[in-house]
Amino acid sequence: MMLKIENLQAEIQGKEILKGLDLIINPGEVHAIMGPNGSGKSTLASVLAGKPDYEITGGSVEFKGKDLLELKPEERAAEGVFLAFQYPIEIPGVSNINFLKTALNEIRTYKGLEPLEAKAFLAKIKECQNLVEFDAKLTGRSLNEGFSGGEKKRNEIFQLAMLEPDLAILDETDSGLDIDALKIVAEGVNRLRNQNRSFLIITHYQRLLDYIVPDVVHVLYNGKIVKTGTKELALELEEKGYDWLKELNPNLEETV
Amino acid sequence: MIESIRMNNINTSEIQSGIEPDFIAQLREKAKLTLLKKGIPNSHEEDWKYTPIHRYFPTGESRISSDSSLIDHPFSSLDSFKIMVVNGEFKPELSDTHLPKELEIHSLENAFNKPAFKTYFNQMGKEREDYFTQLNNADFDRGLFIYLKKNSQLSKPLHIIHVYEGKDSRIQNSRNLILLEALSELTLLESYISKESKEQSVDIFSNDISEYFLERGSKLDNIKYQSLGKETRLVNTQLVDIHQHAEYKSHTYSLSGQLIRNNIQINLSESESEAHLYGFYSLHNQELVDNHTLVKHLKPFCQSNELYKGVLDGKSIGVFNGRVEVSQDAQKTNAYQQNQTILLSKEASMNSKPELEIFADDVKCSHGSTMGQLDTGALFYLQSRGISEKTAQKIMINAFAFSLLSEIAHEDIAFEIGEKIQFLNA
Repeated sequence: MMLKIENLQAEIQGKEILKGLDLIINPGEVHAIMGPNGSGKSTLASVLAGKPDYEITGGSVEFKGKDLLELKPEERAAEGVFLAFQYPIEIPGVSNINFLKTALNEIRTYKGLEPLEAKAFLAKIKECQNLVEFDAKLTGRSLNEGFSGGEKKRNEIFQLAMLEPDLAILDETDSGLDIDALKIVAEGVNRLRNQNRSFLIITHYQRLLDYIVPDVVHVLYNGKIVKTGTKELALELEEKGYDWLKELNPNLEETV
Repeated sequence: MIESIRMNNINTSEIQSGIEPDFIAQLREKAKLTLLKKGIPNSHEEDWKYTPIHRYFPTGESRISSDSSLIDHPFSSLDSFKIMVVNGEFKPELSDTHLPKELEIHSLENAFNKPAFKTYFNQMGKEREDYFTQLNNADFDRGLFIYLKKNSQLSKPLHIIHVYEGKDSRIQNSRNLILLEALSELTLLESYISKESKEQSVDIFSNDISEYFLERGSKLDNIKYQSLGKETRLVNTQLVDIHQHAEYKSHTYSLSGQLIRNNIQINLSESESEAHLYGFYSLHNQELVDNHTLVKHLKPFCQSNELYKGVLDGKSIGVFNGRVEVSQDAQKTNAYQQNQTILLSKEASMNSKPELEIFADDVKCSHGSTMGQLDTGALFYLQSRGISEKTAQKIMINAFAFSLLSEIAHEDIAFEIGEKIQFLNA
């Protein structure tokens, strides 16, 4: 099992967001989580990556058999969790390439491996740039500084390719992308799919799932997963809208 | 008690008497009289409000250990003309002797009879009434005269290595004069280091004054790298006179030391002259770094631009006092000033005071000051990629300093300072 979330509850500044969430992801599976604004999608992504702003008030998360919630963000990354940010951070003065080298080598040190030699590192950069169609010119620039929305998202996928995680969480990677940019990003992700790597794709719209076809689709509503199905569920949700969920589950609270 | 310290700090033995020219002897006499009236600065004086300087004065016995051996110094692989100065004293035997003919370097005692020296000496210093200038006037007994001739440019930077060593029971005073004649250009790197051994740290209080004269159209790129020992105290006063079309750039990196007070006074004395002052301080433990700048806009169409940034950790104290004075004559002045500090610890403190005094009516001036913590969102982003919290902080600090490093035109120097900042925050 890759990821096992049981009854997860989390809050931010005293406000309860996740209210008992359950989820199981096996190696190689692609899961999509859809849900209306405020349902807790991004909170789930942040909590899994270890963002310090959130407080876990109940439940458990197991990642490859380890208690994920015990680990610092950098330890989670080294264990193989990767979060593609909805809003990637710009850091002027830090070059993309030095940032990646540092990240890669700190992860290797964590795993008891030697740092990558310059030559091998550059070869890997080149390979991954091609794989996700990331402009080589951007690699030399400051981290995300002055990048367009599409370039930032592509940089996230480029980092994903470089760091080779076991579980990649994509937090609304499609937001703010036009259809061409979306296709390139999706194509990059598809190339990175394999039988050992799992994906958790968080999205508001069904559109992205036309290009990255999920094995399982979940609907998150008011801090809980309320429905799970195949990729057809995404289409149905798109067609009927999120109000349909309320009809399905009249007991759902509307206190989002 | 204070009276006795003050007397101890005036060197009454008159080392130089007999060989000194009259203009020096007169300066000393005058300064001694002033000092007798003036007390050691205390925190009631605005200029020393946040820096309790009397606590840093020397006490006890001297232990001067001058073994004149070569000293490990930063920028050792830099291709430069190297000048070694130990406790303010020029050491020709440790310095490069083959200098280009456009460049003259003399020890202070050999400079006294040079006409250029006599013309310029104390022309800036005479404006200053403060305690440490007077103390220096009364007591300086070592220093350098650097003289770059008209129209000349050197093939590589001039690197002055100021080394401090031993222990002294009194304040040491050195005096330097740097003259750039018209249309000359110089990259001047000044390193300030303590020669520490495992057994003993350098217990020195040095009061250094350097006067810089930039004649018409000359350019001086002045990088200062201060990495002093934990018992070394330095009051470093730079007085810079800038003439028409001349440009002065200062880059002050204060990375360690018990106490560093940098006084920079800039006189934009002729029109269309420029000064750019950049500073970076990275402090730990109980270190104190105090940057006092004074920029005098005296004539029209001059520019000054000032950016000081710092990172404070432990119980360190930072002071920034930047004053810009625009005189009535100085129309069309552009003057900017900015101070930004990151506090890494709750016990560190920063005192920032930008000041503007404007007597002209057609000027553009702005100043500002910010203090804060490292951006937690950016730290999390780095950590989420497997980078440890410590390394992430280090990266962020380096990024913070980056905008200053990119102002150093000499790439090798900028690169080495960048590496040292990274190393220091490791």
